Amino acid sequence: MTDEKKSALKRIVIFTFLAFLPAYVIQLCLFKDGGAEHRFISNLVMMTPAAANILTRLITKDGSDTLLRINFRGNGKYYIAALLYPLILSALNAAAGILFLVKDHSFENSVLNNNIPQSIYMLLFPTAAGAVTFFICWGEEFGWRGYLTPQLEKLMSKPAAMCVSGVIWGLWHAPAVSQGLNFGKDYPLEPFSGIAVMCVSCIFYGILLSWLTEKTGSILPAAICHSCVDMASNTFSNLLIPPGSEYKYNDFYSGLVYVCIAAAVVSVWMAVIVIRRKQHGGQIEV
Amino acid sequence: MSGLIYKEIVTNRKTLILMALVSSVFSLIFFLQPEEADIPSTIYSLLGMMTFVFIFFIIGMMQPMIFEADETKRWAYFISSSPKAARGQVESKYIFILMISFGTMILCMVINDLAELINGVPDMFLLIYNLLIIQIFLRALELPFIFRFGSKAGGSYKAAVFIIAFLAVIAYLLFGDISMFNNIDALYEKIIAFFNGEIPDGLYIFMAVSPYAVGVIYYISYRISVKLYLKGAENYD
Repeated sequence: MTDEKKSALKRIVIFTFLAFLPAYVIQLCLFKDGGAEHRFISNLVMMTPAAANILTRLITKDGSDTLLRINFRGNGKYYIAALLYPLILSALNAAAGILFLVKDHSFENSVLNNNIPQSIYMLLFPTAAGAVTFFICWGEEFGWRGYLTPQLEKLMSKPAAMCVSGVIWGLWHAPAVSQGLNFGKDYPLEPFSGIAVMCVSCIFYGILLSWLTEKTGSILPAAICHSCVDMASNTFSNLLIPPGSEYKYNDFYSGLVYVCIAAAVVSVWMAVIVIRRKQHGGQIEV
Repeated sequence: MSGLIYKEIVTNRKTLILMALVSSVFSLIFFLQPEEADIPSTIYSLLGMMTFVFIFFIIGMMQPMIFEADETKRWAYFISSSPKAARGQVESKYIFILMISFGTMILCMVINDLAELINGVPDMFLLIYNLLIIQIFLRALELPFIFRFGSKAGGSYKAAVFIIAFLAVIAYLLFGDISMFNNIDALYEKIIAFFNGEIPDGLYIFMAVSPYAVGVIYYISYRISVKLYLKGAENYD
């Protein structure tokens, strides 16, 4: 192992420890049912990867690129992709929900059918609110995409680095998942299967966010996309599925379907990129 | 671009510190209420709203101060001859103004989160979000004037807009329908309900479209300012 790889491994270990320790302590001590009683605490947890990034740089005297650029010019399409991806995902989630998850779906009782002004608001507001509150997710992106993934890429190939960073990111959510966030508590092999699904979800999600970061040389579009996914993932479900609808399966199986959709979207998008690169005679890379 | 934004931070550090101090002092007034005062939660929420409005107002008033350091012919011609050109100078100012606005929003959200933790104040995200949109809209209107006529003349334009708005409010209070003020409690309940998400139908579309419209207006404002920058530089000392 070369010196560069050794120092990258050391930095990854230090970073992971510093990102996990405060997050686990806070989540295990102050979270109830997977969420914090107060927003301040949950927002604080999301800043722990950023703090770990800064501390690891200070401890290991790492002067690598911080990816804190603000470069809108020439990168508009990536920012638009960051805003559109959550809406595409949300539309597919709603379609899957209507087709497979909701009992006796009735469009008549949906918000879209009953209140057009509110529907327009519900369609446009979450993405706008997600975009302007990007700084809440900035903490996570500064850690995972701004430090962990580039360090992992020094040790292994890019696809492998994305998988490993996705697993680390998923495990970081483990205390919240084990308390019932995302998937509830009533599912087989709880909480291990929930944590595994979260890791798979983070791998596919991380691929997209890493792509945005790499293409723009900045974590800003990834932070915007992350924030919009958090805010807008239920946009179309809220519009099309009547409030109070009964579901055939519990949160775990719904989550599983949504993860499959996210994986399918990212896979199709990757395939499109690879085909386009082949057509242009370029290198095939993620 | 990072270099120009770094330059903005360094040359305007005193203004930034002043903004942070003013905002912090106001947030302290919001937090440090004497225990014996026993303020009802509704009044406390109203106090919170006023705090956020005031913080955005003060920061908004101070934002044009970031132009003063660069209002010299020597700098304007130097940056215009650099690879970044006038467009880079204008872009850095627009991004820096956005950074200050987002910084104000972060500060208000942290104050709101802490107030919720300490005093159980409700979530006022909708108010803070709308204040941010309004602030960006006002800057989008103001910045082309500042680039064309300088920050002092731009300030005069802003004062004129405020005077017109003030006169419009006075005219409405004198001649308009003010029956809604007859029952202050009902009005207050309506305001609280609004910030709790009970929004009248007519406002839904406006609130949904306004952030996107403001984004487009801000971009158009930037393009106009790029065209006006060198003309404005003729007025510098």
